[in-house]
This record gives sequence, structure tokens and C-alpha cells, in this order.
Amino acid sequence: MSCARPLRAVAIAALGWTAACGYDAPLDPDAPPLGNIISGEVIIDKLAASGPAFVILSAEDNPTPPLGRGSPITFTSVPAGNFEIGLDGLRGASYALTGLADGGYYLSALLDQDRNFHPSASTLAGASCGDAVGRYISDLEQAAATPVRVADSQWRRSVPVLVTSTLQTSRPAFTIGADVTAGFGGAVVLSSVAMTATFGSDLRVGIPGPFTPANGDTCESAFWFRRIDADGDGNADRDPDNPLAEARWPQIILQWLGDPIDTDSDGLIDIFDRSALPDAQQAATWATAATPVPMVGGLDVPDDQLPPPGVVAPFIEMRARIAPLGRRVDASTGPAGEIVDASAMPRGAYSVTVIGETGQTWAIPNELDTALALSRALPPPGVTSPRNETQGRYVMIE
Amino acid sequence: MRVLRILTATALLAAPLIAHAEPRDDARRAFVRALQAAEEGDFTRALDAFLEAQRLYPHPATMYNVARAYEDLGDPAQAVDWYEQLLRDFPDKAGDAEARAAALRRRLDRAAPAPVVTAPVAPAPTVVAPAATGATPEELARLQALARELDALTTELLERPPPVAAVAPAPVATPADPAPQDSDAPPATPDATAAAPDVTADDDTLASGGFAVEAYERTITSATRAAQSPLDSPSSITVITSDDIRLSGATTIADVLRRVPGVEVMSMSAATPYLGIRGFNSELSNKVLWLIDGRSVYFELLAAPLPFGLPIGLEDIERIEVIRGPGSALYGANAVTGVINIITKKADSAERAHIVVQGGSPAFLTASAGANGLVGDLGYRFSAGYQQEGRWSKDGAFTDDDPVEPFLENQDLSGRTVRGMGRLDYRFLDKGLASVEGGFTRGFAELYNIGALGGYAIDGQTYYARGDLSYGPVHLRGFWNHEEGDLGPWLSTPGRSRDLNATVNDDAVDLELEATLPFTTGPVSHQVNVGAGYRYKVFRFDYLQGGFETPFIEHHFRGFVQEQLSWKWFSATLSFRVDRHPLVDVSQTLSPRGALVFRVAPNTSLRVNAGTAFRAMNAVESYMDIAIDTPADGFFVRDFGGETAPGAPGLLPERIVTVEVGAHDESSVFHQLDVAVYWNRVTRLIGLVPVTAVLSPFDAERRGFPFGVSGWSNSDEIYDGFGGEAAVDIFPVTGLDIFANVAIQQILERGATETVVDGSTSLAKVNLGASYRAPFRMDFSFAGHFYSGQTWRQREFTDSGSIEIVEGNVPARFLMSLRVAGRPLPDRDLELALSLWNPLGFAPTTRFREHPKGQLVGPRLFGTVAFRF
Repeated sequence: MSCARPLRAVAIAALGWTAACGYDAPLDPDAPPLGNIISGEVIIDKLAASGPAFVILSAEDNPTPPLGRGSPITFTSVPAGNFEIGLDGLRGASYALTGLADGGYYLSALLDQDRNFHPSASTLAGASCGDAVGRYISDLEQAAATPVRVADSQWRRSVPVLVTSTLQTSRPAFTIGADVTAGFGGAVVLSSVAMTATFGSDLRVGIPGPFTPANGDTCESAFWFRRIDADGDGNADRDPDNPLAEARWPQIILQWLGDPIDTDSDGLIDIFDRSALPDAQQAATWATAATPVPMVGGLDVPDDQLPPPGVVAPFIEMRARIAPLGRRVDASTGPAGEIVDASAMPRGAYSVTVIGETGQTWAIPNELDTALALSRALPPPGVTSPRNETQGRYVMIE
Repeated sequence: MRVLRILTATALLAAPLIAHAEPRDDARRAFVRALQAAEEGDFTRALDAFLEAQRLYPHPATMYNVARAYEDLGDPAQAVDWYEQLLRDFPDKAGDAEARAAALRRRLDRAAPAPVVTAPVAPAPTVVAPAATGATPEELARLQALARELDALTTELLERPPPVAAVAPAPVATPADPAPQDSDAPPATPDATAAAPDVTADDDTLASGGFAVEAYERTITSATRAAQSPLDSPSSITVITSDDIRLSGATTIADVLRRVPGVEVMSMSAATPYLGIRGFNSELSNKVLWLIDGRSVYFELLAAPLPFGLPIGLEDIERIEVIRGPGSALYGANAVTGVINIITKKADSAERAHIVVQGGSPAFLTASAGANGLVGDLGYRFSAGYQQEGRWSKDGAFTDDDPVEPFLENQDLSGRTVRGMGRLDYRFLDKGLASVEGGFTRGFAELYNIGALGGYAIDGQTYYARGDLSYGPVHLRGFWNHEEGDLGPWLSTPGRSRDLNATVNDDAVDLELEATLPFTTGPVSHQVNVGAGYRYKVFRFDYLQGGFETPFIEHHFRGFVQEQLSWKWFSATLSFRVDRHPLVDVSQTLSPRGALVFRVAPNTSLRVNAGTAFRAMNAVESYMDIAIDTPADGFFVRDFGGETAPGAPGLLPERIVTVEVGAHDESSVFHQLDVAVYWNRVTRLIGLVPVTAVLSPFDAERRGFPFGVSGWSNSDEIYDGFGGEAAVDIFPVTGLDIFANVAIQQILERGATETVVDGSTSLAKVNLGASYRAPFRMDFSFAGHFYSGQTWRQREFTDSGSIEIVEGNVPARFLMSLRVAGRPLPDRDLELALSLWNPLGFAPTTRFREHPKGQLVGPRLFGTVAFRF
């Protein structure tokens, strides 16, 4: 602080003025962390923004598709009107992601040209046909996603996010076919539709029709199928999260949410409390309950239509192969026990998510077509509605 | 010999005339002792005691009595001098002094010229400075001249036989003054009211012809809007005088108020104290009405006081009256749990000017100066001040590379203000008084906001103007309050989608007409107050719907009536007020109050009262419409006011009902005692409701997705508060004042399904303090404040973006202050003091917070240099 000289002259007469001058307030040892900031510019180059851009952040150790199967941590929006051509000749707009905990992050971005993105509506929580996507890449030649690491209340400036790829296909809505019921032992409740199924059976994922974006354009919708051959040896790779299965795009994830307990009757199942489960069940369910990527499966196609490894082919109907897994645990291993085949699929509620190679994802209940989803999920602009009254969020196996 | 006498008189005048500070209660004791001596006919002893009282605490009634005692002792010259000084310093309270002085002068003029003193003379008259505030060089010269004059007069008087009046016992407190039959004798002045001050000052009455019998009485005005003894107060009330303030060493009004039973001060930072009475304290505390000379001084936008931004300093305060209990029947909205009425010094204050500088750690500095006086019928008072407070603690040491930007550039200061005010009073036609006043405050301060908004700061200025016009029983008041400035989060994050920095600009204009109608019906005396008022408000604030460019205008009307009747030892007060609030039905603002007071002994009273009060929704609660970031930056929660929420459900005022029984005792001049027990029921508290999740399209204007909506709503819980307070002030020996009080309170929160204890109010609060004004020109003061632990339940944003109730504990704490002051120079106008506030704040291990989100309360060590003359 500065000390005004006249005041100093007067205050020297008062005891303690020297203490008043040059004062530096001590830090509060219990103050909450300030968080970190990553900021920079979203560069869309030649694209003309007709909708806002979203910069999406995911954890380095649990990235969003296609790098992984994680969910975004946070995002920020950049209005279309903010984009302008800078001194470097590139069209861009500044962004900032704030309040970040220490750690490493991947940054991806979506230019929502059709203005139908919504992070809370599963049918809309991703890029759709016509949107442009991109990410932070430190090395343009390598074009590999690069994590940004921050720590100790750091402000990482000038982290560019390049949005260059416009998606030509839309995410297909999917449904669960009624003919899979024979394989399941319990009842699968999907939204208001109840089906009986037997554990161990395949789950068929189908496309009810072409996707209709909110702006009225019609794009091709399909599952883009690929048997992953990252090392190019001509053989499909094994899924790192499920060594029993072949790595493929798209992938399907069933995550056990817990017992279907809804004590507060809010339409959502309660937070899972493992301690409430019988001991015998805990061992089999830890894998699904405690791990972020629990029950992973590939989407299968008929053998006669199976493309060679590494080749992309469109399909409108696929079958999910779910290998129910568990962890063999005891007191010595804790929850980090060995992954084994589960003998039974625990009852309860499951989220169902399909991940495409483009990073596009689908989740229950996007079995609804877009028009229906919009009518039920999103009210007209300017009108709000209770979120809990929109759509169900899980499949229930009883 | 003449030289010897002059030297004696001069020595008496020049010597440090006062070893004590301004001990009002010590003076009161001497005054009572003098009256007793006068009643016994011992005027010499009476004179000594009156002079002692005047030396301890200057008072117009005492000056009058000194003059009267000189009269009765046959010393008209001295009497004339004291009368003249009284007329000069307190023309409004001089009673019949002018007539008496004139008669005495005539007598002296007719006396033969004094011969040169050559013969042995009687001992020199006891010459004591007429004012106890010190002998400045100018005053000393004047007094020396007076001594010379007295010397001549003494010689002259020695040659005259003593007048009859000098030996005749003077009646005390009787209207029929035994005026001398001599036609030159001073006439009796029948108009006792001429000596009465205005109702907001001390109600000292000079008995016509005899001695003045009332002085140093603690007089209050806030409980009924009329001057009365605390014994007659229908409410629990505590008076803090300017002496209390100065001796306490406190640097803020809030810290001064810590000593009041039932008052809980919660300092979030050095510049952000929040105050509650009998519970219900919170950030931006809004249950207590703050007044300065009858003008509401809360931040209009929030209807909450910001004490650091007041346009006055502690040096400007004559006294503070704290009413505990609802006050809407007199003051309307917001006087829910109490009223703090700050009464400033007047133009005729005994202290004519002051310059006070205080400096210390942490970064603490104040400077204030003021002057007041009378020019004929015109009185003036001006003051100005500067204050800065260092931050106790901060969240980080910030540079340009850090991920936050402080709202204020200076990160080491909690607040800084510059203020100034000026006032002119003009008396006319005996019963008329016109008063105008204006002032400003400019500065910045930390501001702890409610709930999820947390630490804020404000940078702005306030202006005000006040006008009063009274003639006899009719009083017209008016004021204008203006506030403008910027406010926002203390720490903001660059790049955040929603910028919560905002601009505010609001005005309030208030007019009130009141009449006081005294009359009697048989043995019962009545006083009826009737009045009506209007208040205009306009708010501009970025957080309100439509933003800063959309003003919200309100017109408020009110009417009130109060009847006070008294009969022998019994008095009753019935008050009723109705407010017309633009957003509320009239039925919601009816505020009745009733009280009975019994004087079970001349100086002991019992009281019982019941009353109600309401707090109307403020502008933010009514018109808010803002988007607040959630932890996920792209999501926001939209908060609405009661009038702007979808469907405009509206709000109802908060309500309180109180029943209280109390007693007050001043049966000796050595103590005061007050006890009270009460029950409060508070309903319809206004607060933010949990977020209702919504799914809405991208909001381009607010740059994000609505995560949910929240807003202000009346709660369904009922709060029952039970408590008691006991306070005692003891003045055992001259120079020693001791105070102790305890407040016990428990508030039960009655919900639909369960009843829980509201832990945000301390179960027990204990205040204890003493000050000793030593005879060797030093003062020693100590005060300690204990608060039992608290548990706060507040709504906070969670990581998931929702708002949930989060508990935070504040352990029991003890806050103390120490002060040592001395007047080292013979000139008693100079005072040096060293004060230490909250020494526990020095050690990190003993520091405490007064609120879970507040700063660690730091110490304050500072020195004071004060000139008061």
C-alpha cells in the first residue's frame, strides 16, 4: 500500500503508524483454493459461426470420447457474435475455463451451428450433423490431443482450441429392440416401456429413423462401425478395459447406478449406498458400481457383414455384446480385485451409453426421435420446465 | 497581597483543572451532593460540590447552580460571571440567568468604586475555570483578566455587609423562589421551559428562581419519540454516551455496540460488521433499523445498514440509544428486532472542536476534525473524517498471473472512507427551530454478501440532506438519501461468462409531519403524537430485472398515532402505525404496540410490553433477475425476486411478535440495573429457496444453459425465541465505572415435521468491562465480550451446481479490548491513548472467526492523539 505523505506526517504522532504503513494482510490458512484457469482462443478459421461454440474440458485420466469414455467436467460457451478475424488472420474468439482443480485436462470444442446442443439433454449432448468439432493440439503435425496441466492456482493463457472438422453425419437415435427379452432374467424398464429380458443375452441397438436436426436439415444417420486396429497389424485390438472383447467403434457402456431406490420420489434413483448391499452381492457389483467404466461391450454386426479390421462401415442396426464383469475381491484386495466374468448381472438401474469414433455419444433415453425428445425435454425458448419431468435416465434390470 | 491573590487565582486557573475525563456519573453524584447541601443551607459546601460537578462534566444546569450558590453566598460578581458564561455557552438553557445577571450588574454598578486594596483581605475567592474542557491560551488570558476583576470586586465586597440572600436558605426544586424583596434583586423567571433543551437533547430543566435540580440524567428519546427517563421507557433500552465511546477505545460504532446486552456483532472483516439484536443476525443483517438523528441510514437497495459507510464518526456522536424489541409501531418497516438511534452532537455541545488522529496496525488510520458553535440564534456544526481499516486476512497474494482479479486494487485494506457533514440550526420566535444538514461519504469497503455470492466489495459514495422544521408541537421532517457506486465479488475470475460486477444508484426521499398534543383529563395527563409520512424510492441496479437502465420506483405512505398517559406511578403507551407499501396489502403492515410502566419506587420501574414489527422486502428481494454461475461455467442458475419470478408469486413481509417483561432501577447514584425476559415469534422469513432444476435452451444473452431457477421466498418455518437479559452498571467510587451484562437466548425453528434449535444465535453472551479515570490524569479501560458457540446453516452452491444447506461452526469466542490514556501536558486538551483490540488475534492459534465465511478476526493496536477543546 502507499502512504500519503501528509497523512504520514500527521500519523507519526500517533503510535503505531509505522505498523500501519507497509502492511501486508496475512493469508487465510483455511481459505478455499482459488482454482486454476485455462484460457485462450477458439479458432474456427474459415468457418462462419451461426451458433455458439462450447469448449469442453475432460480429465486427462478419464477423457471424453473418442479418447476415452469419460464425461466432461465442465464447459464454457462462446457466443457466435464473439468470433472475429484477429491479427493473425484467423477467425477466433477468446474463452476461459475457470475454477479448475489441479491436474491435467483435455480440451475439446464444438461449434453448435444448428444451435441444438444441450449438455443436459442426452439426445442433444453432443455434436450433430453440421456442427464442427476440434480440440487443443499442441503439435499440428502430430495432430494428437495434448493435455494441459495446471497446478497451484495457475493461469494457463494462450491455449488455442482448433475447431476444423464439420460432421457430415448425425448421431442416430437408438432403441432397444423388443426381441431381446428372452435372454434377460429380469425386467428391463426403459422409460415408460417395460420389457422382460434374460441376463446374458445381447442387446440390440437399432435406428428408428433418420435424425432430424432442430434446424430442419436432414443428415444421414448411421452407426459407423470399425474394428480397431491401432497398430495396423491387420488384427483387431483387444479392448483395454475388457480383455475379453475386441476393441470396436461404436462401444456401449452399461454402468450400474445402484439399487432402484427412490426414497424421495423425485423420479431419480438415490445415490448408491454399497453398504446396504448384501455381502455376497458386493463382490460382484464393485466392478459396476465403483469403477467409472464398468460394463463395456462392443456393438456387433452379423458375421457376414463384418468388415476387416480398421475399415469403417455404416450400419443402421447393431447388437450389443455385453460381457458382465465383476471383480473378485476380498479383504486383502479391496475394490481393486481381479476382473473376472460375473456369474450374475446385479439387479438395479443402468445407464446405457453408446460412443462413436467421432466422439459423438448417445445415451438412454435417446431412443426417442429428436422431435419427440425436443417436445419432452426442451421447452420452447424462454420457457423453463422442471428437468426431472423430462426423460428417464436409466434401464432397470429387476 | 494583591499580587499574591492574583497569582493564586492565576495558578488555580492555569493548573490542570481536571484530572479526570468527563465522568458524567461522577458529576451527577457531586451534583446530588450539592443539592443536598443547599437544602441543608450549607451553600459553601454546595458551591464546592457544584464546582466539582462542573469540573467533572460541564453542564448548563450546574453552571446555573454555581451562579446561584455564589449569589446566596453574597458574591454577585462571581455569580454574574457564571451567568454570563452560561448565557454565552448555552443561551437556550440559561433560564432566567440573563435577568439575574442584569439585576446583579445593576447592584454592582451602584456600589462605590473600590478603593485600592491596602488592608488585609479575606482569602482569595475560589476561582475555578467555568468550563471543564481546559484552559486554552485565549481562555487563560480571559480568566486572568477575570481574576483581576474579581480581585477588585472582592475588595469591594469586603467593604459591604453580606446581602440577606447570602444567608437565607434557598429552596430546592420549588417553583416559588424566595426572591429578595429588594427591587434590584434578580427577578424570578417563571418560564421554566425556556431552560429546556430541544427534545432530542438532555432534558435539563432549570427551576425558576431556585437551583436547577435536574442534570446529568440519562434521557432517552427513541422509545416513544419523546424525551423521557429510562425509568419510563416502555422498551428495553440502553444508552451509550460519548464518554462511554471515548473511554471504550472502540474505533467503530459496531464495536461500541458490543457492550449492549442482547446485541451480537459479527465482524466478517474489519470494515464489515453485521449486527443483530436478540438473534437473527446474518450477512447483510436487515432486522435492525439504524437511524441518525431520526434519518434511516441503511443501504436503501438492501434495506441493510453498512456501518462503515456512515457519514459520521464516533467523535460526532452525543449518544446512541439501542432499543431491543420491535419498533415498527414508531419507525415502520425494518425495526424488527431493534432500533439503533444515533444522536449526534449539537451546535451547543460543550465540546467546541476536536481533532483526533489514530494510527496503528493493521493499516489502521483515522483522522477526524470538527467544530460547532453558536452565532446568535444560529448554530453550526461541521465535521470531516477519514478512516481506513486493514484487512485481517485475504485469500491469496495475487499477481497478474494469478487466476483471480480483486475488485479493489488495494488488497491490504478492508475499507477506506472519507466523509464530511455540515449542519445549521436556527431558532426563531422562541418555539421555532429550523435545521438543515448535508453530508457525504466516499470510499470502498468489503461487503459480505448472502449465500453463494459470498465476499463482495463496494466502491461508491453516498450523499444525504436532512431538514427539520418545528414550531411548538408541530414538527416537519424530511431527508434525502442517495447512494451510488460499483459493487462486485471481492475476487472475480477472468473469463467467467457472467460478470457479477454491477452498478447501483438509488435515492430515497422522506417527508413526515408530526404533532404532539399534550392535555389532561382529571388527574391523568396525556400526550398524543400523530403523524403521517411519505417516502419515495427509486432503485437502479444491474441485478434487478432490466438491468441498470430500468429504474424501479416505489411510493410509500404511512400514518401513526401514539397515546402516552400517566397517572401517579403508572404510565401506559399505546402506539399504532400503518404503512402503505406498494407491494403489500395494508393488512400486512399494521403495527400495534402497547406498554405499561409502573414506578414501584421513585427510581425503580417495572414494565410490560407487547408489540409487533415487520420487515418489508427490499428491492433485491422484489425485483432481482440475475444469472449466477454454477461450478460448471456453462451452467447458470437464474435468481428471481418476488415480483420478477415466473408467475410473480410475490412476497409477504417478515413478521415478529414480542412480549416482554422488564425492570429498571436507578435507586442510587451508584448503579443502574435493567433486566428483561421476552418471547419472540418470527414468521415468514425471506430467503433464497433451493434451486429448481430446469432444462432450457441455450441462453445467448446470458451465455450459458440455465441449470435451474431460484429466488426469494417466505419460509414456512416459525421461529420462537426465548431469552432474558440482565445488565448492571456500577459507579462505586469516583472515577470507576463497571458494566456487566448477560444475555441468554434460544431460538427454536419449528418446521412442518420437526423442531430444531437455530444454532446461528449464541446461547449466551456476556459482556464485562471497567474504566478507571485515575486522579493522575490517566484513564484505564477494559472490556471483554464472550459469545458461546454457533452453528450456521446456510445455502451454498455445491460442486454439482445445486444449492444446499451447509453447516458451519463458530466456536465460542472471547473478544477483549484494552485502553490506556493520559493527558501528559498541563493543557488538558491533549490526550494520548494506546489501545489494543482483540489481542487474541495476534497468535494464529488463538484467532477466531465470527462467521464461518468471515475473516479471521485480527488484532488492532493503535495510538490516539486527540485535541478536544
